[in-house]
Amino acid sequence: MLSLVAVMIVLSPSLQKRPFHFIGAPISSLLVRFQTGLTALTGEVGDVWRGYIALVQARRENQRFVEQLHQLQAENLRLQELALENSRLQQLLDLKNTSPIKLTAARVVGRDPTNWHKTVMINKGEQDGLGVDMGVITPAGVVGRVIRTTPEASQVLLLTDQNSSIAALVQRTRDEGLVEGTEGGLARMKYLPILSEVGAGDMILTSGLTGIFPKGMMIGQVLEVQKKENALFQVVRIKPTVDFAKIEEVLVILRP
Amino acid sequence: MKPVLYILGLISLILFQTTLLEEVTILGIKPDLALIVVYFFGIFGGEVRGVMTGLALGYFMDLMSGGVWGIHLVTKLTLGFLAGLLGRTLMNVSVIFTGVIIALCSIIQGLVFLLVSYITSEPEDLLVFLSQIMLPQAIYDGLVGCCLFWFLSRRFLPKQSTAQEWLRNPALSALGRGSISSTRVEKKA
Repeated sequence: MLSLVAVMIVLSPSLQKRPFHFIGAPISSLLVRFQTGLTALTGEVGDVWRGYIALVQARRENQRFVEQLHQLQAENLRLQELALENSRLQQLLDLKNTSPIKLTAARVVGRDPTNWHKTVMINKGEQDGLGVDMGVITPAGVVGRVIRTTPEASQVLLLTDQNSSIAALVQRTRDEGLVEGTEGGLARMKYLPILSEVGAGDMILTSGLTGIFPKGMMIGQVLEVQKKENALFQVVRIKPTVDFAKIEEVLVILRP
Repeated sequence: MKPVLYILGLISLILFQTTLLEEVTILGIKPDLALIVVYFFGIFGGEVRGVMTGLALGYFMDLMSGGVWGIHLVTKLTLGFLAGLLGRTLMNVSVIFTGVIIALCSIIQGLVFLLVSYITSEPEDLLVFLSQIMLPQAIYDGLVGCCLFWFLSRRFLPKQSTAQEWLRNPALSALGRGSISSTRVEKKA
């Protein structure tokens, strides 16, 4: 019987609309409202859910990015260091290639343990052909000379040590003298003739007389001239062209 | 094992002195850690330990330094011996006192270097030596000695006794007879 009624309702459009419309419309309306509310709620919940998930994800990603950032910063620092080293080594190589003298490169591995002497240790020694009294330079100028060697390392007396002494000349006036280190870590040129017209700003070069350094290598620039009455010689204070606090690689002159 | 650690410690100290210490220079001056360590070994460990440490550190310093060979060996050895004698008599050593004594040791060592410099290379400007090397170094050494002593005394030492008596009971395992752990056990007891 119910099946028959159902068939009749299905087959008759008028029956479909009329008897159930007054019941179905409010129910549908109500359902739609619920649906709307639920849809909005679903959207909100979805947003919160997705936001929460996203936040957890973001936190993880943030941690990952921070780690990556630190790694990249470290790598960047290392690359910058390598670039600087490369630049310095390139300068050394250029000098080595263009210079007629036979050179070997070495790295500074240590410094004098005291404040009284100015020496550095380099990582090349007798095995590499180094010997006592060999000159040591950088592209900026004269560094010093080797005073002690072992098979694998050598000690270099810097130009600024008070025991150092290098034959030199004034580039402009061609007057010769001896450059020594001073107590304050600079250098001075002694035995310059009193009539020499050397002045502040003049460049001091090696004279090549002692055979340790070839002629014409930069030593420093004159800071001031000290003349005493009735003296035979004058003394000039020199600022070395090499920054001894920062030398990291040097060239040793194997044969001038 | 202990002598090996002792030697390794001294070698590490010299390596530190010749490399990393360059990074903490003030006005181009770095502290003489070897001097400070010899002083502490002498004053807390006695003459023999002071002399042994002075001998070893002085030898290493002479190896690495560009000065006249043997000068560090002699000065550090003597310092170790004198510090050992001093350690027998000192009571209730304070941080300031330690700093002043270390600064004085540094000045005396500087005067010896200056004397040798006069003999070997005729330095011309004594004032530069004094003002730019000797005095700043003495102050720096004294300050580092103060800090080290303050740290050691807070960490290990009891308040009353002569310097070397400190070692018999508690004290520094590296310097002394007895270990830190046994010291702590004694303190608790």
